[in-house]
Amino acid sequence: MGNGVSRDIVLFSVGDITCGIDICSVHEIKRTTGITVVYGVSDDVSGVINLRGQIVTVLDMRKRFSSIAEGITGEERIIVVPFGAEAVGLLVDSVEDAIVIEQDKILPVPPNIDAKLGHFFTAVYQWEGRIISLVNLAELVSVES
Amino acid sequence: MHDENDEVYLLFLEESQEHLEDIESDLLELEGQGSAPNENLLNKVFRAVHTVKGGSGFFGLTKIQSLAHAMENVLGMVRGGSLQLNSHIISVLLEGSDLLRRMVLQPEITDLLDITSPIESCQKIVDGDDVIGDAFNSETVEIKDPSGLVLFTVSQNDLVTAQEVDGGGNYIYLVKYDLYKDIEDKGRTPQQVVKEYLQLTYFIDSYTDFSQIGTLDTLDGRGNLPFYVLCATVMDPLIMGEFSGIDSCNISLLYDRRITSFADDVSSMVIVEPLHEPVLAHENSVVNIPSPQHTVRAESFGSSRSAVQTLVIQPSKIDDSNSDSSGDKKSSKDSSSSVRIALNQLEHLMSLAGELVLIRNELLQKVQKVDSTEIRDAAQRVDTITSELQEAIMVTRMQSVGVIFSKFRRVVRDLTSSLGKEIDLTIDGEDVELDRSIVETIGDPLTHMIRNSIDHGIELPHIRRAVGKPESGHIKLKALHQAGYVIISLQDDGAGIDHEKVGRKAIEKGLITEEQYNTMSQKELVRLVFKPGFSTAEVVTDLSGRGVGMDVVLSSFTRVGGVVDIDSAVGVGTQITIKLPLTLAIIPSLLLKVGEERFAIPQVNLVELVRIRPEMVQERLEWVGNAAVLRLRGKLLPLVRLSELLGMENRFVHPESGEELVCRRENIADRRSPQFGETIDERQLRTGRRSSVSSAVNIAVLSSGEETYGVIVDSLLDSEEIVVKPLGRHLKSCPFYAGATILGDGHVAMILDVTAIYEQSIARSISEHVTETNDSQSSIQHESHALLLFRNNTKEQIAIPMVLVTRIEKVPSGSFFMVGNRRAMHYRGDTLIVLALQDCATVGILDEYAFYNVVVFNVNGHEYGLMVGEVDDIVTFTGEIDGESYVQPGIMGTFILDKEIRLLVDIYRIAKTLLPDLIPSEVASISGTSMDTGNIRKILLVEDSKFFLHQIEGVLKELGYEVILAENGEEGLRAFKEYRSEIAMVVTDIEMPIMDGLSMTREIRKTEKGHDLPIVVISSLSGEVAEKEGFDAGVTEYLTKMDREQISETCRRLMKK
Repeated sequence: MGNGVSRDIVLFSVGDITCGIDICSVHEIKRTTGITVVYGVSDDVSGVINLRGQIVTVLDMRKRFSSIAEGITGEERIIVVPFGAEAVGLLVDSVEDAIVIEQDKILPVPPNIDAKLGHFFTAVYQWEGRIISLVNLAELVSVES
Repeated sequence: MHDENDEVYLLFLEESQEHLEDIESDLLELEGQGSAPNENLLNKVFRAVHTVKGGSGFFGLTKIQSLAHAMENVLGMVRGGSLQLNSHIISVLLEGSDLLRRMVLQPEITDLLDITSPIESCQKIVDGDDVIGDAFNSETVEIKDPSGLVLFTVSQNDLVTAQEVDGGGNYIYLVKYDLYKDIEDKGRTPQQVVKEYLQLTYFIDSYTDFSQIGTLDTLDGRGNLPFYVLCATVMDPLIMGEFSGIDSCNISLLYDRRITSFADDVSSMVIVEPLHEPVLAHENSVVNIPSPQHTVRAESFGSSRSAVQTLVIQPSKIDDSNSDSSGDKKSSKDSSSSVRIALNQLEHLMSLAGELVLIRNELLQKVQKVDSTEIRDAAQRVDTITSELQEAIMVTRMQSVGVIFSKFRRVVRDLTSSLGKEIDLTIDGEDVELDRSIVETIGDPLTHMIRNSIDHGIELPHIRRAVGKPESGHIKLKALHQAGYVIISLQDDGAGIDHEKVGRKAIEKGLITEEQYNTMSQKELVRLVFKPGFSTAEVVTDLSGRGVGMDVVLSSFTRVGGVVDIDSAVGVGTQITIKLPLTLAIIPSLLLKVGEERFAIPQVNLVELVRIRPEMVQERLEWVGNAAVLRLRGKLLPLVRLSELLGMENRFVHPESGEELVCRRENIADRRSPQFGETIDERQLRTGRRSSVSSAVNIAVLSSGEETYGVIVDSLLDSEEIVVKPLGRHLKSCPFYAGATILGDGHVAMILDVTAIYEQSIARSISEHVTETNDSQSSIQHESHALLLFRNNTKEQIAIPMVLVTRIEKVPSGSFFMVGNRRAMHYRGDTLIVLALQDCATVGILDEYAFYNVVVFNVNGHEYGLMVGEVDDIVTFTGEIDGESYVQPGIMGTFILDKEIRLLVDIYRIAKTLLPDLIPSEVASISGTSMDTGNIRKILLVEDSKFFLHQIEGVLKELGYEVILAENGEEGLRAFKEYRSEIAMVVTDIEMPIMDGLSMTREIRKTEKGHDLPIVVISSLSGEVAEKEGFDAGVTEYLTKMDREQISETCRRLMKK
């Protein structure tokens, strides 16, 4: 570990983007069974799930990132994160691992990143030769107007 | 002498609280019953006070005990018939029960409270002049132990009562327990003992003799703590010994009524000695009772008592016979059928049950792969029980609003007397259930609102008399389920809220500007009372002006998701309606399936289910433009295809993973876009718009309160009680859902918002049109009408009110034939005369079509047809109808829709003009009756829309009546007062400015002449709720607008009377 402060993050991928989310923000990770599709709502809402009696909205991250759905791989997961007083599920292509990152190796988001995606990330991190985009959770789960 | 945290002690306090809460409402009810109080209720109150007294005596809460005792004396006399209940006595008892409650709630402050005044009041009542005879009522008997220590002071009356009431009996016993030896060592609690006595005997009093507890020195862990119980029972000494389970030396028979009577020889002192020397208590149930040696006042028992008896006692039998004969079963049941539980524990249970459901689901899936019937059976049972468990826990959260409503009787009673007002309170719908947390939240704001009504709303009697109202004001509080919401409404017939005064005050306080004031409607102005920092009270009174304004009321309701609406008319009254959302409420619902998804519809919205067999689909389903309609008992019901509305056809859900695959996504908002129209047309072509539809169609007929429509679904599933869960913020923008629920299998089903679906689909065109018309019409409120739009030719657009249309038949052009000079067609085995607009009105000629639509309508019980071209659409129109220009025979007016002028057809006039011989003039038809009753023929017509005013006036005049016109309720009322002797009937609209039709009706009903006058409402507000409200206000008949046939029929019928 470096001399800076370290953080635990959970890695997940959406399309070809690998993202990192602070482990403290992750309530739990679930399989995608039992999603009830909700019709007539915004495109990026895949549906709702029953999380121990609480109705949790599931947001499709592939829609948010405008990436193309690969079809069903069986690796899809729902990451449940807090959203104000409620909880929201993030539907992602896969969840990989939890890693420790060192604060001083965190880099700013490169300016050439797709403008449509830029606001979803706060920083990037290099890890085993891969670029991990650290997500801005508030933006990720914001209610689209 | 009790541990503050002792469970039994706490239980006693909680139980006492419950008893005392009941006492209040029961006393108020008793007061309402006047001189003939309900005996059961009286007994209930008596028992409640009695129980509190007993328990408090046990715990050494002497103040509570003596107050309860004093009250009990009063109640005992009332029960015995020697005292008549009056409001003074009720007040004293209420005051007493208040004090008792305070002491029970906070036993630690008991010492600070002064209870002498209520005790004295009670005593005065007992001694007072209104006591009917019986000097011995106040005589007391002291019951002492052999050492002379006074254990109990009991009124003679008490003892007599104890012997006479149900549950009591001829024998009066003093039972001495040792708290340690007889109770604790036997693994029992004193509370249990007292309870047993309460159930099986008439429990008079109990006393714990703390003086005998000894000092620390003598204590050595165990002292001697006598606990005396005084009771009356039917049990003879033999059974008593068995029942109490203690040495018979500790049981003293004070009195056996069969031998002596208290009245014979009143003694002020009774010394108690044991029934006999310590002997008995055999292990088996055979008990020997030696003859009693020492008894009260040295009386000797009769010989039958002294004989040695052998009895086989079966405890269960005692139990049965006693509780049966006592008639006290209910109270014993009550006391054991509820427990208190912390809400957060319940919440926790609920989430655990939720988790269990999920695990159960997983289990069920995995079990499928296991080849063992045993495991599967077990899993099946887990499945059932889990569902039941979940349901049971959810139900525990519900509480009826009666819990808070019942408190208001007291609030009203107290305030009215202190303000010198007279108010009747009507409470309705106490059994409506709401989530506990909501019930708890709305209590305070509702109280505040009621205080406001009493304080500011209802006028003083002399003022009310001066303005012609009954002296006694009326406050109506009701709760009901409506369209999946719980509506609580509070209505008073007080002074109302002066909107101008409110407005001026708001300006003064800087809440609004002068400019805003000028643009605000009456209702908006009234709503200003909800603004923070607003209070209309000129003088801050003790009651309402406690620093809590209506803004707090509003925010309290909003916090639980409520919507508050206020309606007020100066001089007439105020109505505040709170619409509480489904949230958390358990509602019975119908589950239905569309595609792979299940949806829930609140049962309250469900009118009926219709299944149309495949061969009937063609006949009963009709496409009118883009809209489908169902022929249902002669009416056309607009239909919504749920899959279409929600855009489900474009989505595909993977059946196994539940994963959604998006094939193509259309935004709902584009529903009316060309492509979408195409897809409908394509589908219609494919499925055969009027030809073959292969499968049956399931329709749920729904009512959104005012409108009825049908929803086409794939299949209808079960009814289920569902718990509404709120939706996340991402779903708030979607109007179709009222919430979501978790089904028995753990899956989520969305709850459809029946009102919103109507608004988003069938009424959708309105909103588009309304925005257009509103630009030019400012904010005048129009009533809405469902209109059928069709084309006469390419240029002319024509509309017919839907209410008048019985059916629409599509017929080929060759189907018509001539009968004489009239066009006709075969229709349901009969000949239908078919008219055309051009025959009567100056309109363009009907274009040539291969198929015509024939609108079937009914005049005087006969059906006629009107031939029209293509049917375009069904719309709900809310704009202005011009009833003056372009009016001619057959055209009743014009209106603008989609920037085009439409002609509104008057089908009755067409029929009358073209078929004068078949449709007799209505004047002629009533002329006979008109001669009979002769003199009074005037009808007061109140209607704000000029168009309808003239339309209905026309109908009434045709019927031969003279019509007095008024444009709002206030004018109507004035006209009524002016012409009251001549008016034979009132016909009125509901929605009107200044004073609405219902308020006017209520006012008219209050007058002498208007008491039995027929009042007919003609309104576009249809639906059960609206109608009920109408009838509640005193309306004689409730008609739907524009149905001329119905109007004339009703008028004729009512005027005949």
